[in-house]
Amino acid sequence: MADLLEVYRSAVRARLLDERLAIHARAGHIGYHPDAARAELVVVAATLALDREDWIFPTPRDHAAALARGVSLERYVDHAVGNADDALGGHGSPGMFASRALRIASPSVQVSQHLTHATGLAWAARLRGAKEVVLALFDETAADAGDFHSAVNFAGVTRAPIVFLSKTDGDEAPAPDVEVREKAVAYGVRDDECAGDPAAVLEHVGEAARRARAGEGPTLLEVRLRKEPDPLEALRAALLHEGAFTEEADFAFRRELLLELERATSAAFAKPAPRLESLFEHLYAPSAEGALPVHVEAQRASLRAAYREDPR
Amino acid sequence: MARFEFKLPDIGEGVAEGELVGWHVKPGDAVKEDQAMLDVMTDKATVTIGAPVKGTIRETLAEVGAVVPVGTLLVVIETEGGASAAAPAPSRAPEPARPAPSSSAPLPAPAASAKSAPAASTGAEGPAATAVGDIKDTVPGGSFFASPAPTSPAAASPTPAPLAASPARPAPASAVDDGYHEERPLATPVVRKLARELGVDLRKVRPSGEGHRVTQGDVRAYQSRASAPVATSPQAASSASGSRAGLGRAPIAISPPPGTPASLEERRPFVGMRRKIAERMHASKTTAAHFTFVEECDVGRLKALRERMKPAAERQGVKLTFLPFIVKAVVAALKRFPVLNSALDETTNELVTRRYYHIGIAASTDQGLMVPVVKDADRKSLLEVAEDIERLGQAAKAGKIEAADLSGSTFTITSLGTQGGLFATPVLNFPEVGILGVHQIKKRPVVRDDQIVIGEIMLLSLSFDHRIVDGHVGAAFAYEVIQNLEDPEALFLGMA
Amino acid sequence: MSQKNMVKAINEALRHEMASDDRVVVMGEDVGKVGGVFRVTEGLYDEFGEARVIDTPLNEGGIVGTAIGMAAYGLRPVPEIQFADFIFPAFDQIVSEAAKYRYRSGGEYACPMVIRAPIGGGIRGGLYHSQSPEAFFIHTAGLKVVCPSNPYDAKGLLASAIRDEDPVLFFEPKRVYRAVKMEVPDEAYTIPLGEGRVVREGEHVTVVAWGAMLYEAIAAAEEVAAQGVSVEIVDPRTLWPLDLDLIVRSVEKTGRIVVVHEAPKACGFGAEILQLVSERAFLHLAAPPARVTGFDTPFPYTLENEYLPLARRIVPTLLETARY
Repeated sequence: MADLLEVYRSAVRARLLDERLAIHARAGHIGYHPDAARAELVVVAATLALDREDWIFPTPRDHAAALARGVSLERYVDHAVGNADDALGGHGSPGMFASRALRIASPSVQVSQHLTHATGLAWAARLRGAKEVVLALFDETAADAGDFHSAVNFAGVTRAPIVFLSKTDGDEAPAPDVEVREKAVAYGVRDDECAGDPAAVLEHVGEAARRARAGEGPTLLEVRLRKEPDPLEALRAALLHEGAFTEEADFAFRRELLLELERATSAAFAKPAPRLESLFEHLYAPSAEGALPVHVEAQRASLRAAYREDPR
Repeated sequence: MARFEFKLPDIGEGVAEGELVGWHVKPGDAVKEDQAMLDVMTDKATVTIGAPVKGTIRETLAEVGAVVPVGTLLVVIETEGGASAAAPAPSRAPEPARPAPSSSAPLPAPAASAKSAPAASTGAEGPAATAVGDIKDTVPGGSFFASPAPTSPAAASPTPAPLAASPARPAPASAVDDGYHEERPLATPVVRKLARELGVDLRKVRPSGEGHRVTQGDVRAYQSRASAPVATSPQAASSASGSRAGLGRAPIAISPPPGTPASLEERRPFVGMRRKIAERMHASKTTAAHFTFVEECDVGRLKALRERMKPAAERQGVKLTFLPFIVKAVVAALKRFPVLNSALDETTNELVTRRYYHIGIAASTDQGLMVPVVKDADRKSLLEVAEDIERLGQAAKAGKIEAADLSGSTFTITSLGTQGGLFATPVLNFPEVGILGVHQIKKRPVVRDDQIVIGEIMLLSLSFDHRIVDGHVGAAFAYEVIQNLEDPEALFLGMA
Repeated sequence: MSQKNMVKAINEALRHEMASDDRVVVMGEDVGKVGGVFRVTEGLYDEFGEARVIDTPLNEGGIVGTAIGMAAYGLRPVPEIQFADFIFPAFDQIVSEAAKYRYRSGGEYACPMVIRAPIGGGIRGGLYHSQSPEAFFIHTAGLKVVCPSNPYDAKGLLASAIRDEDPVLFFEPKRVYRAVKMEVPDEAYTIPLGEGRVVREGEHVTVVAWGAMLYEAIAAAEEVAAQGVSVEIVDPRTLWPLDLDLIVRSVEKTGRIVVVHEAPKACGFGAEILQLVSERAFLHLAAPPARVTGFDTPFPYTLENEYLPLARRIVPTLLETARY
C-alpha cells in the first residue's frame, strides 16, 4: 500500500502541471486544459490503491492517474500540445490521454459514456477469468446522465469487478436530496462513501478493489471532496508537521519539478506538428497492404497536393 | 416591375448567328414597344430589332462587333407591369415529344443514337422568327440599283465585283461552320468528352437530341463533315461565313509611316456587312478558279422590243427595264448549259446541278453589296420577273427586304452601271460557278453587211469557276446569252 | 452444402467464429435462451453457454457501451440490436465512442465489434420496425457498414466482419431473412469487406442496389430488358468502405447510373454514391445520375410497399435514364 508521502508527491506533480498548462492555455499556446479542480489527491490515492494490472477509466480532468502510473511530464505536455510525439497522434483533444500499456483507458468527453465502457471491460475480464479490477472515475454530475445508469445497471446484473468512484462536492448538498451512492442501491450495487482525504480514499478504494477481485461484485464509492481549504496544502502541512519532510526538502522537490516542467514544455513546443498524413492514420486498422479505403486515399492525396511544399 | 430578357431570335431561315453592328439604346433608356434597340447583321441582311415591350433598358449584353448565336441574351428590359414579363417564345421548333417507351425507341448505345438522330429539318430548324412582332427587317441605306452615282467608295472602286449575300438557311449538311447554340451548348459529359477528343466545337454542332441536346451521333456526324467545308443541297447553298477563321498568315498591322501623325488616320471597327463581304470574297477567291470572258452584244432589237412593250407593262403598273430580259436570256442559256447552274458539294464530292433557277441580282448599297434573289425565274413571265425586281428594289429602298429574299441564288447577274468601265472581272458568288456582269449600253460604230452602222453595244463580262466550267463551255454559254439578247423575239418564241 | 436461408447462414457464421475464436461473444436482448427475436442466435446459448451468449438488459446504449469496453479489453463482441430502428439509443456510443476509439487514442485502443441489426421494411412492422439508417453510420468516420443481400454473402461477410479489427455495422435485410434460400457451404468461409459484386451484366444502365432492394432492381431489369434496355446491377455488399472502383468501371461502360435504396432520399447513401461516381466518371456520363428511394417521410405502416422503391417505381427511371 502506498504511503501518503507518495500520494503527496504525485499530486504535487499534477498540480504544478495544471498550473503550467493553464498559463499556456490562457496564452493560446494550446487549445485548452481541463485541470484536476483540486481533486488530484483523490485521483492519485485511488490509483495508488490499485494493482498495476488494474484498469482506470478517467475523465479528461484525471491526468493525475496517468502521472501516478508513471507518465512523464514531458509525455503529458507532448499530448497537451498535440505535437509529433503526442501519444494520441494529435487526434485526441486535451485530457483524452490514454495508454494501453499503463491500462489508462480513453476518456469520453460526454460525461458518463466511459462508465459503460468500464463496466464492459470489467465484465470481459471476469468472463476471461482474469483477476483484473476496474476503477471508473466520474464527477457527481455524471450521475444525472444516462450512461451512468446503464453502466451501474449492467455492473449490477453482471457482477462485474468494478469500482465506480464519484468525486462529489462535499461542500454542497445534493439536489434533490438523494446521494449519488443511493443510486447504486436500485441496481443491486454495493454503495460506500468516504471523505476526500487520501488516507480514506486509499483505504476505501483498496477495500472495494479487493472485493471486486474476490468476485464479490461492484462498488459505488462516493468520495466527498472539500476544496477549501486546498486539500493539497492541508496534506503538505500535515506531512510537515509529522516531519515527513522539511520545508527546505519540499522547496527543493518543487524546484526540481518546476525545472522538469520547464524542460518538458520547452521540448514539447520545440517539436514539430504531426506529419500531414497522420491525419488519416488510426481511422481503421492498417490493412495488410497499408492502403486506405479508396475514398480516404483520394482525400489524403488532395491534402498532400494542397500542402505540396509543406515539409511535414 | 418585371424582368424581360430579350434573346436574339431566329431572324431568318436557318440563321444561326448575327453580328451586332450597332446599339440604338443604352442602359437606363426608356423604350416604347417597337422602338429600335439594336442592329444585327446576319448572313442575309442587317436587321433593326425593336423593343418587344415597353420598359426601361436595364442591361445591354453584347459589344458592337460581337458575333452572337441565336438565343443569346442581348437585352434585359425592366417592364412596368408584372404580367408581360414572359419572354417571347424562343426561336425553336416545338420540342419533339419524349419517345414513348417501346421496343423501337432508340437505345443509348452510341452507334444507335447516331442513327436515331432526327434527320435534316426537324428539331432546331423550325419556323423562323417567331418574334416577328419584335423585329423590323430593314436594309439600311442605299437604293436597290445604286446608279448612276454611287457615293460609297466601295461601289466606286474599279472592280466592283458583285457579292452574294449568300444562300438560304443552312441545312444540316451545310451546318459545319454555323453556330447552333448559346455560349453553353447542351450536352452530356460523355458527349463533351467525345467532342474534346475529336476537336469539335460543340457550339457548331447541330443538336438532334431531346431538348436541343447535342448527341454523340451529332458530334460524329459533324466531325465526318468537318473536313469538307462546303455542301450544297436543295434547300441551300453553303454558307461561307466560316472563312473568317484564319488568314493562313500573320495578320498585318497598319500604322502611320514615320513622320505621319496617327491623328491623320481614322480607325473604325471592321464589322458588319463590310466584314461579311470580305469573308465572302476571300472564300470565293481562294476556292474557285476564276476565269473571265468578255464579249460585246448588240442590243438594238432588244431596245426596240422593250420600247414596244413598255406602255403595256406600264398599264399593268410595271416599270420595264433591261434586267428582266437579261434574266430571261440567262435562264434560257442555263437550261442549255446546265453546268452553269451547278455547284460543288464538297462533303459528298458531287456536282449538284440545280433544276431550279434562282437568279441573284447584285446591288450596291451604302453599306455594301447585296444580292436579292428572283426565285424560280424560269417559271415566271417577263412581267413577273420585272415585278419581282421592282418589288425587291422598293423593299430595299424602304428598308424592308426580307432575309428570305436575300438567299438561295443559283446564278448571279451584276449590273455594272455607268461606271462599269470597259470590262470587269466579276467575283463569283461562291459556290455558284458563273456570274454575268452587264455593262452600260453605248452607241458604237459596228460593221453590219459590210457597212458601218450605229450599234447599241453592251459589253458582257462573265466569270466562271474553271474547276467546273471548261473554257469553251463558258464561251458557248456566253454566246448563248448574247444570241438571246440580240434576238429577243426568238427567245420568247423558244420559251413559248 | 445445402439450401439455407439468411437466418441459418448468419447463425452458422456466428457458430463458426465462436468455435474458432473464444474471444467472440454474442450479446443482446433475448439473444441467449430465446435465440433472438428472429431466431438468428438460436442454439448458440446451449452450445457456448451464458458467458459467451449473453442476455443483456433492454438498453441499447448500455449494450453498445459495454461492448466497447469488452472490445477494449480484447474480446470480439457481437451485440445485436433487435431492430435497426432501436439503434438510436446507442447512437452516441456508436458515433462518439466506437467510431472514434482507435482514432482518438492514436491507436492505443481499438474497438473490434460487430453490431448486428435487422434493417428495412416489407414485414408490416410499421415505422419503428422498418427503417434503413445506414447513411447515419456511413457519414461517421471510423465505421464500416455491411448489408448482405443473400444467405451466401451474409455468411461470408459476417465472418469477415467479426475478424475485422474495427467496428462494423452489419445490417441484415429482414425481408430477405427467410424469403431467399440458396446453396450455402456448411464450412466457414469469408467474403472480404469492401468488395462488391456484379450481379447482372448489362450495357445501358448501371444499377447499384443492396439488401432487399436488390431483388426489386433485378425485377425491374427483367422488365426493361423486354424493351431492349440492358441493365447491369452492382451489389456493393459492403456499403462502406465502398467498392467504388467496381461501380466506376461499370459506369464507364454504361454511361448511366441509378441507385436504389429503401432509406429516404435526402442525404441518403445514394446521393454519396452518385457524387463519388460523378467525381470519378463524369466524362463518361450520358444521363443524369438518378435515384429511386424511399420517400422523405417517416416509414408508413399501411402503405409500406408503396413507400418502398419496388420494381414498378424503378422501371420508369431505368427507361428515362437509358433513353436520356
